[in-house]
Amino acid sequence: MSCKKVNGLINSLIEGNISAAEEAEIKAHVKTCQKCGAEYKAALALKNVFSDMKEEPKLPADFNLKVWDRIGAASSPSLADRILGYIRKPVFIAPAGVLVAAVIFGLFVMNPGVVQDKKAELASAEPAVKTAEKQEITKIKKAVTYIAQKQSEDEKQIVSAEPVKEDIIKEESKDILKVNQFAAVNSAADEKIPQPLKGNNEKASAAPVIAAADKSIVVTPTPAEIEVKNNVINGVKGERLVIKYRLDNEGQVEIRIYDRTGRPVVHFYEKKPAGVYEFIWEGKDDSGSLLASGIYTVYIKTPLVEKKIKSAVIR
Amino acid sequence: MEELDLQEVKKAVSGDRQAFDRVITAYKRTVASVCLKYMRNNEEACDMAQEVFCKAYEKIGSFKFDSKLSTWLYRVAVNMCINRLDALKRRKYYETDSISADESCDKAAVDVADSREGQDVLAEKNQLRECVMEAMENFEPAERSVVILRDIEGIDYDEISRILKIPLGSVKSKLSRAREKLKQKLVRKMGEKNEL
Repeated sequence: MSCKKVNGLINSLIEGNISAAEEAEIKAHVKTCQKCGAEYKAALALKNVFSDMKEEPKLPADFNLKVWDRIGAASSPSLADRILGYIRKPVFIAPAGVLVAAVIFGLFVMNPGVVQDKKAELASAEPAVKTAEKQEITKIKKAVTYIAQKQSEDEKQIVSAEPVKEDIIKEESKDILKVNQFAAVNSAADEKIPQPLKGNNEKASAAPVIAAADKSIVVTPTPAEIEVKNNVINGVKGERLVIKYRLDNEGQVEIRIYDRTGRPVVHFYEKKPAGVYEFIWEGKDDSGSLLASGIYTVYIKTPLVEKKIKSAVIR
Repeated sequence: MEELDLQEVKKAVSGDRQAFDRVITAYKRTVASVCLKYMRNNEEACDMAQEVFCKAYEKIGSFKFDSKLSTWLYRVAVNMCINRLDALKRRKYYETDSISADESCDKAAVDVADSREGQDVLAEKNQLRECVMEAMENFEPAERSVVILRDIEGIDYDEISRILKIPLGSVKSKLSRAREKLKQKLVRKMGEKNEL
């Protein structure tokens, strides 16, 4: 008998399904083969060890009671638990997923009006006063553009016909009259425009002042709520970020600049009267040290606007 | 092992406490026996068996009757024992964890030397048993479970396949590999002893 066959029989010996004849064959082989002999002895020992390990546990008499103690006073699982357990079965997960997807599809894809309604709702949430103010500013801007256009046309006529300037003003077009009427009607709104914007106030440099035919009516366009100039700056070369903002009434102005990690590097809080102002940043922190190159976020909050602006500092 | 009547099992599954008490009575010995093979300590095995029944009580609602209740309880017991041993091993509280198989065998050999003549056979058996158990601790969980369930508990292959949720072929191959490792371990130990 070959060693390979004996090895197979030895494995069967551990399993316990070996005939007496086969065992006799093994015994005959191991007398002449030392290696198989060692394997045979080890297999017998292993079988004995397994047999010894078949010991029975010694259970305490109050085993059941101890189990119930552990379970505690808990009653049988509640109906809700059972329903939840049933729903959590994988059989229900796929249909539930399909149902949810169908609802979402039905709501937002088949009926996009819902989304648009939501957007409209959100848009209308903007304060009505602010909207009216914007409309007013747009109207005035249009009027000013029109007057400027007409004036330039008139000036050309003056050069060619050399009439007296005052006459031209008297012969103003109907359109100009219309604008003036509009300005007169909106004089109440004009009064709201802060004083620094009117006349030769330096702070109001961004606001061109155009006088119409009637000198008592001054149409003054208001600047945008915020103007940002040069938001890529090189602090070493003295370049500056300029943020121009407007206050219609006295109000608190808050400007903070954050680096990329969210750390505030510049703080500016001040209560200012109505007017147009400029905030200038030279790429320095509160202590006056030049900041490292990178992207910075400028947060500005006025009674009119709250905005975040990205600015890059290069060196 | 006698299986509990199906009606009793259904009652237990539906939350009947008295029926579940009969489940405990019917299977406590089987469950504790498996726990003992893993935990190697009667007290810990009883403790573990109690926990197995607590878990079974909690989860019996999910029993689907696609196997015998005993198979399901075996599965719960095997999984809980493996988890407990892993946790003990991680925490290094398991007393034999710090002793390697070889050290354990050497310790047993000293005991043999100290023992009186006549007790040599018993001491040798203990020594070999200790070696086998220590070697099994280093097996992967499925290999160890296959040896315990087949060679010690005497459960048939199909049942083991269902308990461990692995294919029948894997059960056989894992068992064959595990037996070979144990056999070679004993060959080496017995060879060393003969040299002495």
